[in-house]
Amino acid sequence: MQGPRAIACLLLMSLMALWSLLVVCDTLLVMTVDQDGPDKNHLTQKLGRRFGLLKDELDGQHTVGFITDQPRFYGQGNLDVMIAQYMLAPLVIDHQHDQPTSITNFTSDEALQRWLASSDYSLQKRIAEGLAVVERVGP
Amino acid sequence: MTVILPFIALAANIFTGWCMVNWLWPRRAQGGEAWFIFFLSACVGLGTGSLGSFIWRIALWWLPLGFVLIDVALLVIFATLWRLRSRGEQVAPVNTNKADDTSRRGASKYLPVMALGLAIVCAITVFRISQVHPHGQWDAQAIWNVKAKFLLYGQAQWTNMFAAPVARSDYPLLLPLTIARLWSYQGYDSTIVPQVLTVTWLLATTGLIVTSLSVLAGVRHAALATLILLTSKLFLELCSWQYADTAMSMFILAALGTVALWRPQYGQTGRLLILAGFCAGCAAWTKNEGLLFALALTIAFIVATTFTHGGRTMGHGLKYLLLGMTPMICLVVFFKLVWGGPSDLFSDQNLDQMLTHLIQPDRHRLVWKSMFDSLGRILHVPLMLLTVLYTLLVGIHRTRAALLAPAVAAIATLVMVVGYASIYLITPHDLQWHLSTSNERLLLQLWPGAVLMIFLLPKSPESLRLVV
Repeated sequence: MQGPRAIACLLLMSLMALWSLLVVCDTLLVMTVDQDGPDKNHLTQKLGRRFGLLKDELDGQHTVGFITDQPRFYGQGNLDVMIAQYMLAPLVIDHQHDQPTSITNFTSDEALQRWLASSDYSLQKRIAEGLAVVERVGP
Repeated sequence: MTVILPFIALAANIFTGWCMVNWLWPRRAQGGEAWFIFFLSACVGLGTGSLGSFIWRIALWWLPLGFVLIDVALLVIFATLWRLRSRGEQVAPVNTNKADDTSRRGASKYLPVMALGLAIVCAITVFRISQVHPHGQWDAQAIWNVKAKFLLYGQAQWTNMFAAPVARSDYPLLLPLTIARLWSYQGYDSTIVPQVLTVTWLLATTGLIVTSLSVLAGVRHAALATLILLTSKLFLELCSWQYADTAMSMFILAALGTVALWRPQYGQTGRLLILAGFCAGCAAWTKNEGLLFALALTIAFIVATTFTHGGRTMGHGLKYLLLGMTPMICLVVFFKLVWGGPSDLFSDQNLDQMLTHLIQPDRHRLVWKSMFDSLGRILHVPLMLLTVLYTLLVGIHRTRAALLAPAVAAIATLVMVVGYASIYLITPHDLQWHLSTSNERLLLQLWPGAVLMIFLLPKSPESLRLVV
């Protein structure tokens, strides 16, 4: 096959190659400028650093509970549990049953104190704002 | 020193894959085919390594450095099998759909190198971006890397991951096992290992596209296909987020590319199909969708080969394809029976509920609209239109033999899309939420295989007798 059709194919192919190259370069530039991905607020990184502070405190534990004042499913609470589990594995976080030792993830120290006053738990160690290791003292 | 040990282990894995692929390859490979073997080795080697890691975790966890022992054993076994195999088998070289070899002359021979160069630039960018989120995005932390931590530190209690709040506990373990094994060489969980692995998926995928198409359709199509593959922003983003969908897309492409190199009309045995089946099995061991792909590939192979080469050739090839799938599919079934359990898609509802969902027109409309919207975000529509125009101008292959590979890829892709749509239709979750969180990623798994199919269809530009 030769003639105008062949030249048209060649031109079309060159156009596609150049266009693709421009799109790839543009994509790389956009990705370099906007590096956040789905986690626009760097939430998982912040939570990761927060729960990472618990590692030394929980050394030797097998399972701990997880107590939070956030909603549980498809909201902040569920994400909190997931990130805590990632940072603290192979420690198992049991967020569905009471455990002798638990970690708390409250929005503030005040909220944590209010909860402690009305619960069977005592503060073992405060780690950060609203983040603490607590132990069950009641039955 | 421990920092580089995982990467030495990764290289050793790829070499194990190299030995296995060469053991099964039906002829002495040269040129583009040798490079295809290299990239296929990365897929096969990581799959084999994951199989070895699973044996280490369930049977040899008590043995100090058991993971090293298994890696060395696999390397020795496949290297020995490769060396022992008779190399006297004379089989015609792979048929190319190129009219002549003009693509080997002039500037054209550098096109695949340039395409791979661009892929390396993309890989460097992806690697740099992944360092902004060194632990990966949500799925990486909630599913893959957390499971890898249980496998690394859990010893005999690694199964605690199934009691922990780990998302998708029914998902198979290829990726977590690969990460955990490489971490084991280092002695701790570092963020660099998953980052390097994600770059490996990217490079292997682009390498497989370039090399398979340069053998089958000419270097110009190979280079163009690579460029078009990389125009998908989502493909590059998922790599930087450490999601497993890019590994899935690599295994799917490896399986389809290997089937495309099979040429039954030259009397080739089905050795290549064993490798294709193994890659499909690796996809099944990566994510649940991989099981659907193994089924889709089998259906596509039966239909396309029967149409192009007849039932006898199909039956002969199918044996090899299923033989290749068997080890990994057995592994997946064993895992599902013992630990994984059924997917929440099926366990959280009964048959009546599924049928009720299935007959609701609104759900059909929502699912297919979402599918088309996602497709528009994955591919670059004007470029696709130009590709269609180009294909019409240059013409498509008309011989049945040449249509085998694109037909297998097209049917497999179609079965996958219908399968995904069916899953969405019956999902017990909120449909809008389910679609918005996964639809694009699932379709992206099919993107590299679709690009391969698109560029296997048209005649090669070499047939135009134009030398660039």
